[in-house]
Amino acid sequence: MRSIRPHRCYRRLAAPLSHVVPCILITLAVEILVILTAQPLEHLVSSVDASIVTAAHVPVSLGSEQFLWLNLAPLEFTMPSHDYIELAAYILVGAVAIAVVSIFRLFPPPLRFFVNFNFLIVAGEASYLLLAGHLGYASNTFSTLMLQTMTAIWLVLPLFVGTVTILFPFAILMSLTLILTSVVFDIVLAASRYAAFIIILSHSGPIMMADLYLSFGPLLDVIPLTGIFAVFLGLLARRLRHEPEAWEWL
Amino acid sequence: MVVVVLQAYAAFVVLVMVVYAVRHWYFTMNRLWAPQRPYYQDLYDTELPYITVVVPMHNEAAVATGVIDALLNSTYPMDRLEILPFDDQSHDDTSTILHDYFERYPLIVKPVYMLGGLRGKPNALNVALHLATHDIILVFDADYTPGKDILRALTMAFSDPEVGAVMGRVIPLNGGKNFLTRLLSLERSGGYQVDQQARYNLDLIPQYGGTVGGFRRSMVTDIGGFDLSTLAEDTDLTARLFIEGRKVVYSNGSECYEEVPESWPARFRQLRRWSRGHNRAFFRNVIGIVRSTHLSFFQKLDGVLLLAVYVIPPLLLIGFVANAVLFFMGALPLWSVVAVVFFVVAFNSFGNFAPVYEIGAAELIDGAGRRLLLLPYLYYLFLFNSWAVTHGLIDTFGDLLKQRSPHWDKTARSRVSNS
Repeated sequence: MRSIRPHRCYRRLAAPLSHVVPCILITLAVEILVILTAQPLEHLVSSVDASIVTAAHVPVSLGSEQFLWLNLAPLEFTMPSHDYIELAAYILVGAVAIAVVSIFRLFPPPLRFFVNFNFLIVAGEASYLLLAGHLGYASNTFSTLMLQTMTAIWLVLPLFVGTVTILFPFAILMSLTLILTSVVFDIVLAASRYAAFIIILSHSGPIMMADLYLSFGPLLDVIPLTGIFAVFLGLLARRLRHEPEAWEWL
Repeated sequence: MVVVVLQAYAAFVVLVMVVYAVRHWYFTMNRLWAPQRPYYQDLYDTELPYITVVVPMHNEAAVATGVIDALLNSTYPMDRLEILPFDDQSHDDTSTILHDYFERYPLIVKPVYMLGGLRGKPNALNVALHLATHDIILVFDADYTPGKDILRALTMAFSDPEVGAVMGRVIPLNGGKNFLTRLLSLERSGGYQVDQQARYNLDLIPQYGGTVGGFRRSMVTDIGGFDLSTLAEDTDLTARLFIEGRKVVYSNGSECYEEVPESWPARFRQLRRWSRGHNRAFFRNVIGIVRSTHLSFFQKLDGVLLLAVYVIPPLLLIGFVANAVLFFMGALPLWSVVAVVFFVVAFNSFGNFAPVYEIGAAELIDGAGRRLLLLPYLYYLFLFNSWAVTHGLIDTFGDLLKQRSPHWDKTARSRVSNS
């Protein structure tokens, strides 16, 4: 009989899961912190964004909306409307652009699909506007939707990052830094995006609304957040390479 | 009414994603922290059985010598080894190369020349069921480079009379070649190091992947051989073996190198073919899995989720369309957006082939470092994968409606011949 040679196929992290309880506590602590600071944070984001948007020569005012236990202050702004000729042009341009990008294969496939996806949304939205006459969201309801979405994501984010973090033996300080960095990064990203969207929409009109929200909106947050997670995981991997006692076999 | 239907659909997609997210989270936890279920290492030096190794080939002149040389250099006793390379209607020099091996090793390398008829791996394997001299048949694709000990390690599993098939770990040989191969390397890592091993640990449904593995001929013959109408004879065999109460085991230590597609079109065709075959296996076996008296509740659940994996990306794409329409109508539910962000995008990264945390865990175990920084780029594949898989599902529906047998579209090789 031959002894089993150490091999990565048998490798696993050494129990016990001593990091689990601290990680849960850190997650809950950050979650409570986010809940407690959500209201002042909302007002801060709205005020800062209002200043940025005003500086870009877009007139805005602060509204008032109730969401969960929070009193939100969405930016109220106006958008130009589109006539049917403009909408028909958007549909035509969208269709031609999809054809050109597909036929001439201007980008590698993943990027090509993403570009076409955006043209498709714009053309779809133009078609809907042409048929229905108006979009389901007006400027102010869209602004409220944006603010509600980012608030909901902030409130849930610590729990989700914590759920992933708990899988890995991060040191307590690292877990805390990872969860906090994710939350802070997302707050800054979402706030900047909110201002940018309002500036764009105040010039472009509603035609870009769905594309901005569905393609460049909250769904994209996950990519930089995964980047942050990857950096921390890389640091952990480096640490574990020098800690043979962190591993067990079979 | 439209709004209610679309919202119900969005809720359904989210529910499915939650189930997959929980499943993969549990797999990751199990692989990282739980004791690993041993393979059959303790039997390593028991008497080795006679085996047949099948290598299906179609225009494989560039890689044929690599795989056969590797098999001939294996530590498996040569007097117990038979190699059947199948030349499946090649137009290049494959047959000449195989004939050369036959002349040099007439007792070991016995080429099979398929000059006409149905082309494709399932057909070659069915022929192998008749031509193989031995009951244990191992299968390697032509672009694989088996290690010296792999035949021995894979064969050990058949010491257990309940084992119908065994699967080893596939590792990309050209993983560092370009951006695409790096991402595919990450994907494979998560799929094998965590997913397959966890399913083996938990006594669920490890998948026989059709290569770097093998099966017991008598058991496969008993269940009717390989289905010629599918392009995923491996998934189909996995399901049918489990339905009949046989076992498929996973050997994480049996590592074998393969060549992953280096171009986007080749990857698109490969995914489309996998999706087409896998979905065919889904429609054929899902009811059998649910009704099987040999499987536990969790095995049934895992079996259904495994078979449904290529149905999910199209479900997601339709979900995105549903959300877009709801947005146009001003009826986008907030819970849907938040759930999509976290369960669909974050926890299932790209149509649930392997969530980022699962891939991260696999890379951690494999000792990777800077490669982890590629994790966010996996989202780059999201639409690409979803679109390719959706094409495959449409092909499946076409196959089912027209009762047609699919055409075998071989993945293009990038390796340059060294023969």
